[in-house]
Amino acid sequence: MNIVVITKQVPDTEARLNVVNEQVQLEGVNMVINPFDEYGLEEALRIKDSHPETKIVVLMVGPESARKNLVNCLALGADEAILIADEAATGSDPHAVARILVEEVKKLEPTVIFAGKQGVDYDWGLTAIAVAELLGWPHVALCKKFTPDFTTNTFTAAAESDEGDLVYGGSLPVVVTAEKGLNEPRYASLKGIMAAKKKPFAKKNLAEIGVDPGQTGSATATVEQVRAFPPPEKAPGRIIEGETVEERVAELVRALHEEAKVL
Amino acid sequence: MDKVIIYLETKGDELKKVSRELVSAAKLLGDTFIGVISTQAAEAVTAAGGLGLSRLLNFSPQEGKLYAAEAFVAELRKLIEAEKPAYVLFGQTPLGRDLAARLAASMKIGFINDVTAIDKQDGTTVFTKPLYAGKVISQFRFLAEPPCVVTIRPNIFAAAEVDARTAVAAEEVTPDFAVAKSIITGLEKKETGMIDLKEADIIISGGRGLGGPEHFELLFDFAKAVGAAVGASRATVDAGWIDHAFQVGQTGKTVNPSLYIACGISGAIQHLAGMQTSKCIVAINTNETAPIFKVADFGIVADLHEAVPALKAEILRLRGDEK
Repeated sequence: MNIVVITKQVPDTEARLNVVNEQVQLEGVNMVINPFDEYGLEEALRIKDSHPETKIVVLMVGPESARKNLVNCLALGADEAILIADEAATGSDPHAVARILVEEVKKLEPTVIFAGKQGVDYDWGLTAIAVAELLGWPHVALCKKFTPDFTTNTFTAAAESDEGDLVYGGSLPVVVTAEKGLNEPRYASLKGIMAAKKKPFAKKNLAEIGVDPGQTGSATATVEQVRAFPPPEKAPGRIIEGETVEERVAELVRALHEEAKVL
Repeated sequence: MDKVIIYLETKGDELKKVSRELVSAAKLLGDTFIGVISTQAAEAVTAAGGLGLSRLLNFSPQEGKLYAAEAFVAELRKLIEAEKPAYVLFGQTPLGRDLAARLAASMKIGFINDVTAIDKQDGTTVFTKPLYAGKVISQFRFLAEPPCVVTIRPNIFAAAEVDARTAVAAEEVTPDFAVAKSIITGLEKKETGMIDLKEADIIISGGRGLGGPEHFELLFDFAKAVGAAVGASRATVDAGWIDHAFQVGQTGKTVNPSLYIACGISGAIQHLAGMQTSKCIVAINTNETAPIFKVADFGIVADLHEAVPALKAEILRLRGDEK
């Protein structure tokens, strides 16, 4: 059985981002595996723990610098990594990224595809669902519990909603997008880090996976980013003074009521 | 005469607030509104009908088959084929984002999500959307032909009033669940009375300064008394003090209440990203150099275990005085 984990390289959530000339500057920013994808990978690893014959392939459309991020996935226990890096894919919208991913996924014939619920960069939450659509597969988004049954080719799942847990039932194969809380990701062991160096890592371009470069990139984009800017600066706030906590709190409530008018 | 389809959601038997906000957003995009809802609650259908719609369709849920993206997309595509809308609008909610994404994927059409503003610039409609959980704000426009899919962040646009006098009756539609290979069969309800973080007007959020998981009780007590939602920092979630559903920040929820009260939260950048658009931010922390004070409108240097009960009492006193 094969499982594919779709990943993406994103800026570290602890990073501060600057905007220059209406463009986000990512130079020098530490780039990591999308945090939500880590929950997808962990879920795949847990299936492999109980079904050791499973092969986990981590798949990414991204820059060459993402090799180190994918090697980290191998260190955690994935079996193979494929990086699709091609200048022609630059500026692809989520639909186009899905078109690229699907070509490689088809060759792997996975039973489950995991991905994060969204990239923590643009927060689209579209790519993995578009992969499901292109494959004609069902999907479970924002998944916080996934229970596959490989003998009956069915699954049950739970996803978070405002009202409580949505309970899903369906058939495999399926695309699952992971919410934080799906599991607690493991850390790489020293043995895993050593083993990662010997695991298959393939870098491919669009021609090698059979995608027409004309079907990707900014020329096919359905949306355009017009400009980016930093969030509006907040005026400096006020530390409320007072002898006792009660006095400070009383002054705070007065200010919230009379000045900020939020109470 | 641009038509806009709006996907309306319910919470319990009521129309969700974000669903009424969709009407205000739709008015910036068109002048004829077609509503789609999926509920067995008659009062929610009646309320939806009073939102100034030309048509209202109810994708009737069935016993053990409440929702399936594939089935709902098939019905939406029929409606889009018939009505030829310019836009299809959803709330940026768990189900709204699910259906919006599958619809956009199915039709291979333009998709902009989590929109916080809609403006006309030189004759082009421009959609504002925060990136990196709000560390950067960006504007997008559609290059693709209509229809385009847009999801709207809750708590930003004004909620439209329901006018029962203009109500349209719902057309019942039975989705074909047989086309779906993933179906929501049930809902395990949360404890009732909890306020949704995304729609909350007041949020009280706790960080490591609470000192331990048991101290979240202090915040829940405040929340219950004052009518607030409880949030949490990533540190407390990662420490296992509280469920991830409460997490505010880049890998949690992005919130924008009128009042955000950060208690014992130092203010890591990934947390600030998730709450900095709150109208008013209050920080309560014993460490006066904590970064949270830099984004706070008001700060109190105090132990939250003393300040929170005092704050609860003072707010209740204020409200008592007003009555």
